[in-house]
Amino acid sequence: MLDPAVLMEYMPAFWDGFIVTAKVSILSIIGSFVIGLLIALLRISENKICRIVALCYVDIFRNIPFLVLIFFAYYGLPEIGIYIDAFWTGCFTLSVAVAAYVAETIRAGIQNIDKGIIEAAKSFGFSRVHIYTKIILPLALTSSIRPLGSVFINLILTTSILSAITLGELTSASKIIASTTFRPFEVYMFLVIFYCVLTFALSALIAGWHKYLNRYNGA
Amino acid sequence: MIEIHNLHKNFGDLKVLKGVDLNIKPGEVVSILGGSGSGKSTLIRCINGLEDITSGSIFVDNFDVKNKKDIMEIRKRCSTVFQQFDLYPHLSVLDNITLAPINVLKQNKKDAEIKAIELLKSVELEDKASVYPAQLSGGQKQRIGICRALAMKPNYLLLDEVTSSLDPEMTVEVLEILKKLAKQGITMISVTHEIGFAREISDRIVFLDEGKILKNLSKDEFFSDDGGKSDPRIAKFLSKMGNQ
Amino acid sequence: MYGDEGFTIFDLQLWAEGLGISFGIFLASSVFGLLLGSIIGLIRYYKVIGIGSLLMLGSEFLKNSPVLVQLFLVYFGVPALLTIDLSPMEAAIITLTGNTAAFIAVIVISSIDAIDKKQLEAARSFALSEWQILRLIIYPQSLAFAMPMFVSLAINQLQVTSLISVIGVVDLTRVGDIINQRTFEPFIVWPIIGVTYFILAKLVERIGTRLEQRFSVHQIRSEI
Repeated sequence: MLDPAVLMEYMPAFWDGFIVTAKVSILSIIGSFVIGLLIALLRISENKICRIVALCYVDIFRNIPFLVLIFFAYYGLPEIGIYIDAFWTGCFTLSVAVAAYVAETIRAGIQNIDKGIIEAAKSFGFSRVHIYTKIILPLALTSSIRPLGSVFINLILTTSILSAITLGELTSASKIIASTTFRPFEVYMFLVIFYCVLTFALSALIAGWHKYLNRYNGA
Repeated sequence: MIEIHNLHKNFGDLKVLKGVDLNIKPGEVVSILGGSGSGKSTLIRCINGLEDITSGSIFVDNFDVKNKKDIMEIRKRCSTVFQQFDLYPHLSVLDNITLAPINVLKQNKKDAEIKAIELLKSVELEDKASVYPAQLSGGQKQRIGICRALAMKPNYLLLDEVTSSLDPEMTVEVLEILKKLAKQGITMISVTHEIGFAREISDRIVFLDEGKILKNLSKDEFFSDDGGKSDPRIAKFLSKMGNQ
Repeated sequence: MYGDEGFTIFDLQLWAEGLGISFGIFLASSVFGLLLGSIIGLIRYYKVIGIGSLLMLGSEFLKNSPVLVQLFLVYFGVPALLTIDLSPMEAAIITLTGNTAAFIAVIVISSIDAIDKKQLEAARSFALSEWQILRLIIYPQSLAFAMPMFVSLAINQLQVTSLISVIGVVDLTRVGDIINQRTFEPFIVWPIIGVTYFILAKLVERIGTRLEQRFSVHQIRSEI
């Protein structure tokens, strides 16, 4: 019989897992954004080698399963003398992998900018740095809030895979609860609903933020 | 002083400018006329280095457009008003005007804003300082475009088909402002279709045809029957534009 | 590959088997998912009372939660609740089919919505039956519209199959894990596994682009 009440006493354990998920997510969102922005800039650089390197980066990390990447990092990093725990391995790998998606999203945002606006800025004698920081990036990033939001929501869902390298995040915690209570259906159903509510709430927030930051487009 | 000597510009195999010689003195108002494809927009874009020139030379106040370092100096001296306005959509009207003065001319924010408000008053748009470009009509956008250019206190104002995207009513409001500016003695180089306007404000008319200057005459000479109009191509152009 | 003494010829065989399992499950769940998802999409489109919205709500849940948790739910949760037995392979196919179907349903609906409604009115005015409209007008056009989305979904779902290793299916990733645990050569094992997935993805992409072109050509012809 379905008995959700059994989960109540395990809420603290569940909450601890959630905190780990939240921490990994936030750090990885920051990390992937920084790396992704860099890759996006390389991707549209005038230097051919930079463009090729960025293209390879994007292609590789968008076509190899995250689970393979995380195993490679988890078992491989110590081999080359980098000893970091599951938490930091997770943050590192998520940042590197998701950066490929971030880069493509930002690049699309940059390429959608009206060329005339960039030319106008050039004609006023702005330096390259100013054209990027005052015109191109503000425009590209504000118009990319919603697609970037989807990328980051996907990142949050992907953190569940870190349970495979024994990081005690939400999914890991639930696994333990499921095996102690012998109520796997209730536990995982609750977890599915929890992730859904979380992503719906975040999507709504992002949509609102997108609308606010793009208010300059409205009449 | 803008000195253009034997300017050639190719786009791939297409030769757009084929040896243009033109000097523009401070205080002059020069209109560049010509059919579409005559190269007139390209000419104005070469002056501040938006297009690389293929051969020949352009000097603006003795700064060389072929020299990367000089280009920045040239751009400070030449401000452009664009056909499609090309305002920065994410910035308020006020920030659109002050962005270059603050970041390029290193003016302090307060001074730049005071100056911007003055300019907005002169085009009767001071109440629009805090709105975004998307909320403005085409004519209003172009008036802001003019303010944005003037805020740089340019030695030369380059006007690239500034009324081509506007309906007749809005064209009038923009032209009125430019007429006022012409009277104030600002050097202007204007690429335009508006022959009536060219006639009203210009000291000199340059007629471009297939990448070459066909005529470079004072306004009165250009519009006289034994001057510009004696050339069949110019006569045809003028009659096609509905202006005798 | 077996120059190192840790590796044996059997590793190559294991690799081939894993590759077969991964690709087989990918194909099975894609085909089943495509069918199921299209049916859900059509039920929704024709507004079959009640179920349409309910199925879409289900789709949203599948799209917005981690596939790994869905796998746990199906493999550990459902058998416990219903007291049935489910092999890892069965659980894997069920979960991935459901997950793929959820995405397909959403693509199907948006592709049908992309068709100009006036065309359908015109078709009705020529007394075409709803079935004929679906087959002759909606299907070819929405397929051409949906194809690029199907292709990127397929590439994504191929990577998602790697998760089934976690519930014990011996797929390509699990094979990598097994060999890695034994030889402890992560710098040889995982790049090989990664490159295998990469090549598979490129293959799927190539085939998808080919199909995409074929269907868009078909659409242009049918319009003439």
